Formats: sequence, C-alpha cells, structure tokens
Amino acid sequence: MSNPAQTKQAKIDEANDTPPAVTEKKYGLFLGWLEDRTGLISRLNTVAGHRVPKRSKWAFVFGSATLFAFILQVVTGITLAMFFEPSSATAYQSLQRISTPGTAEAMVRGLHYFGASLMVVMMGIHLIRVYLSAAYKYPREMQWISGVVMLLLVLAMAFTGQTLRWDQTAVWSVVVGAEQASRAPIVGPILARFLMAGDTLNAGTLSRLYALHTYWFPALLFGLIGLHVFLVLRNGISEPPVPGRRVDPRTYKQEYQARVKKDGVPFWPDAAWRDTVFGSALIILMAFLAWKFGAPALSKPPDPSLINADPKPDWYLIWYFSILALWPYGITNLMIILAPLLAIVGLIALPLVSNKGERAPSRRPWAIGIVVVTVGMIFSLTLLGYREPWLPRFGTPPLTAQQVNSTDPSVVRGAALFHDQSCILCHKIDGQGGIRGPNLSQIGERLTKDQLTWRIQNGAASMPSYAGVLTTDQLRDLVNFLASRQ
Amino acid sequence: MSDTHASSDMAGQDDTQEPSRRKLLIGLSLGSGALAAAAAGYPIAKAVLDPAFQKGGRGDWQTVGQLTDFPLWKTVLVTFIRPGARSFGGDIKKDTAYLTRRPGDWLALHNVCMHLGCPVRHQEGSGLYFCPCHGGVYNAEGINVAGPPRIPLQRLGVRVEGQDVQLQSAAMPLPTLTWPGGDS
Repeated sequence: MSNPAQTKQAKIDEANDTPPAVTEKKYGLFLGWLEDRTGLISRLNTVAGHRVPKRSKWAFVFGSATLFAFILQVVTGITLAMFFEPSSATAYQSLQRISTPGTAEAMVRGLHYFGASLMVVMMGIHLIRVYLSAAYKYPREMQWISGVVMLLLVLAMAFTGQTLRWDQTAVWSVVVGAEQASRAPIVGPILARFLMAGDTLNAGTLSRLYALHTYWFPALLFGLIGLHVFLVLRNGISEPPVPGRRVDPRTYKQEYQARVKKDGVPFWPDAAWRDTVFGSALIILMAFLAWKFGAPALSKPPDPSLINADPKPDWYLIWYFSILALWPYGITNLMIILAPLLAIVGLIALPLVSNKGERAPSRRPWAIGIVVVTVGMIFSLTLLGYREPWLPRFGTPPLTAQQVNSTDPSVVRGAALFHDQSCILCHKIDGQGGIRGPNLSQIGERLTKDQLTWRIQNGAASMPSYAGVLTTDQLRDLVNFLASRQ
Repeated sequence: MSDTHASSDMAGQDDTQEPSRRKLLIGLSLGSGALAAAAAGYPIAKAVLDPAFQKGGRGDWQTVGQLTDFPLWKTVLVTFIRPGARSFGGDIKKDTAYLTRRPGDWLALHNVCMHLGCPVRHQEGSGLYFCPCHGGVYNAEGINVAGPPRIPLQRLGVRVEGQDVQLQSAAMPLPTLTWPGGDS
C-alpha cells in the first residue's frame, strides 16, 4: 500500500541515503580516502565534466573574470586590513605608511585599487553581454536578479572602499552620500544618519563604513556568488543566441538538454580554459599596473575645517557625480532618489516581464539601442565630469590692463568689478576664467547694453541675480566694460 | 516509547499521534530559535540602528573668537566642534561656519551646501558663496540664488558673552525631499 505521503518520504530517504563506501581503486590511496569521507572529488569531477554548449567562446569569459577580480579583492583586502587602522584619528597616517612608494604594502594597495576598477569593468561588460544575448530569459531569471543585487553590492563596495581611504575626498564623499540618501521619502534622514553613524560626522563614522566594507557587504556577496554559480551549473550556460530560435518555457529545457547532449563539450577544459587564461591575464595586468604606479595618491588629511576641497569619486562613479550637477534644478531633489530607484526596479523587472522569445541581438534592435545610448551617456558624462564646467574657477586673477585694453575709466572700473563680483569664476574673457557660463570675450557684439543690464539684474538658473548687489554706478561700469568686449 | 513504537498494533495510533507531535517539535524548534535570535538580535539591532534615529538639531554654545576678530561686515570662517563628537575622533570632529558681524546683528551660516553637503567658499567682493562640487551659489544672506541647491544655507545662533563670540553648534543639516516648485 502506498499513499502519497509515504512516496514523498521514500524519495527524501533515497536522496539522503549515506553513499556507499568508495571501494574503487581509481582515486588512489589519498584521494580515495578523501572521496570516501567527503564525496568532493566525484562532485568536482561532475562539475568539471558537465557538458556546455559548443561555441560559447570569448564572449562568455566576463562573468568568471568578475569572479577572478573578486578573489583578488578578497585576498588583497584582507592583507590591507592587517595594516590599516580603522580609527578616524589615525587611519590617514596608517594609509600614508601603507602607501610608502616601493613597499610591498603599497603594491598590495595598488592591486586592491586597480582590482576594484577591474571588477566594476568586468561586471559591466558581463551585464552588457548577458543583456545583449538575452541570456536572462527562461529559465535564468534568478541568475539575472541575483546578478543585479550583486551589481548594487559591488557599487556599495566601491563607494565604501573610497571612503575608507579616509582623506579629505573620502570624508566629503561620506557627506555627499549621506545628503543624497536624505532625499528618500520618510526613511531619508534615517539612512543618512545610519551611514554617518550619527547625526553628524563622528568617531564612529569610519568604523561603521569599515564594518560594512569588510564584513557585511562581502558576506552578502559570498552568499550571492554561491547562488549565482550554483544556478549557472544547474540551468546550464546559455547558448550563443541563434536568430529565429525562440525561447519557449514549455520546451526550452528539453531542447537545451538535447542540444547539449548532441554537440556539447565538457566544461573543463574545453570551455573553462578561456575563463582561466583570460582571468589570469587580467590579474597579471593588475599586478603590472600596481607595480608600475603603486598605490593611488591620498588627498589632504581628513580635516573638515580645510574647506578648499574638490571631492570627486573614482573614475567609474564620475558619470553619476556629473548627473547630480546636470539634472534640471527644479527636479533635482526628486531625481536624486527616483532615478536610481527606477533603474534598479527596471533591471530587476526585466526578466520577469520578458522571459521568452527571440534572444539574438539582431532581432532585438532596441536592446542594442539601449546599450549604445547608456554606454554613450556614461562615457560622455565621465568626460564632462573631468572637465567640470560647473566648477567655479576659484582664484582666477583679475584681467590685466593689456587684456582690458581701454583707457575709458568706466570700462577699467567695470573690468575690476568683473573680477571682484565673481563674474570671472564662471565666465571666460580672453582665455581667463570659468566655463560655467558663456564666454564673454565678444559679448558686446551679441547683446545690447539693455540686454546686458537685464541679464545681470535677473541672473539665470545657474547665475545669481545681481539686483541689489551692484549699485547703479557699478552696474553701468560693468555693462560698459562688457559692451566693449568685441 | 521505543517499545510501543515497535508494535505494529500501535502503528495506527502512532500515525494519528505523529502529526501533532511533529507540529510540537517544529513549533519548539522555530520558537526557541526565534527567541534566541531576538535575545541576541535586540541589542545588536539597537546598537546598529540607534545612531540612525538621532534627531540632529542644535548643540552647545562654543566660543569661536573675540569681538576684535570680527570687524564690521567682514565674513570670517570659524571652526567649531560637532555636537556629540568624541574627543578621540581626531580632526573629523571639526566643522565650520561663516560669521558676518553687521550693525546690530550677526549672521552665522553653517558651511554645508544644501545640495550635497560640500563646504562652500565665500568670495570677498561679491559676498557670494560658491560650492566647488556642483556650482551652487548662495548670496550674502545665504539664500540659494543659482545652481542645484533648493534650500538656503542653514543659520546658526550667535551670542556675545563679554568679549567672547559664541556660536551654537549644530549637527549636519540634511536636505529632505522637496517637490518641484516647493521652496524648502
């Protein structure tokens, strides 16, 4: 007599049966002992030998390259933790010590620095490859979603890692991060104070960031990487897309297995040699860069009373720093939270709303379009971030008499006002000054005196109004000076 | 118990007893686990999250200079100690403000740009404050007049005790969400 409950229990028992003793001689004395006690050898052999689709070539190496970079980060990170003092009073000195040129510690710090860039870049390319070849479709939705969560964790690691550099830039990065978070509805101030470990910067701030960067985020990453790799093995490596071969959840798994059985190749070494060679080559390259350039330079000490600061994130986050300057000002407070939130929701929702159909990029032109536009935007925003047009050019000297080139006393006074009233911080004349506003070298040709007066009095979105700041005489002198720029 | 278990006569009875016994064991395991997690988790969660629920706001009064340090109409950068900062924190406990003495009153602006918190720089001639991070501009009163900031620089209290000029310290001001068109 068999009822369903008994059948179920029988299946569980079967799956949990203690495996028979290993008696075959094929493993040899030592490995045979190990296999008998752990079963790891046969399991590793199964993983190494499992069949993967043919033609999974160089496009498929970026996921494992990200894993190689992660391992490099773990090893170098643990090494740095043996020298770094996560104390807000002494961290900077310990970093200076670590960064002494020519020492092994400096090279390890360089490796960790270049390794971070490597991990972000490899993760980005992996993301683009998976998106373009629609490998996130059935049955690999959870692989994509766990990948998105890891993407966020890696960016969180990148951000907290930069703050552990505990120099002037790091300190202001914490502030910038907290002030962004504070825009979230209701929980904003809580998030901000969670990050700062209090309602302002304090001795606990660095300790908290250190704990997040070295314990919490890596622990989560280890778990998610385990899940991600397990799913890759369970669901199989996706095949290179073939135009016209549509993913149908009802038949996909049988078709995939049939194809892999027919013309698949063993994972090791037929497919995995590329992963190993590529990942190893990248790590050798990082070691070369670390040896050549050493540890990245520290900025000034973490003293918030040194206010001449120009905080900027590392290169791979510069594009986001640029966006923060460029939102239309009216919606900036909203977009600081809303835009990243929409991006995250969109990424997580992608495999849930589109899990079947064509995978080939040639049949999904919008996917190519989205990648081209996104990469183009990140690239141009990064370039802009290094030009920093919005940065007032502090300390620009006054225009020389030669540049002013006039004997009219009103024009000469106006030229002095152009400097003293901070116009020159954002406007360039004869190659001198900022680039936030238009170049005014020939402004006299474009605007009449009335138009100049109107603009100075009213300002613009990025320009302060000078009504009430300048006296009537000063305004007249300044307009005379500008009108003479032709 | 093991004796009755072995008897096939009792098997039927066992079957009816097992589910309730299993339910008890499951309840016991999950219950004790939850209790243990709560006992260890409460102090952990409280320690980690308490700082997140601090209220910010004003701190103590601190002497930042003498009356003679502040000529009329001159804007002076002063340093104060963050409220609640631990003495072992090093330089991180320092914060800054711009003090301007004017006939009859004082203006103290907390040096935290209300866009993303960078320190702003005062310009002598125009009296404007410029932020180096994303180009926010505030006028001599600390009002946001150009660039991304939507909120004025935060003001701090000033008082004069004898010759001492004292500033009321404050936590880091956080700009909260404002809707398009809103003023603060």
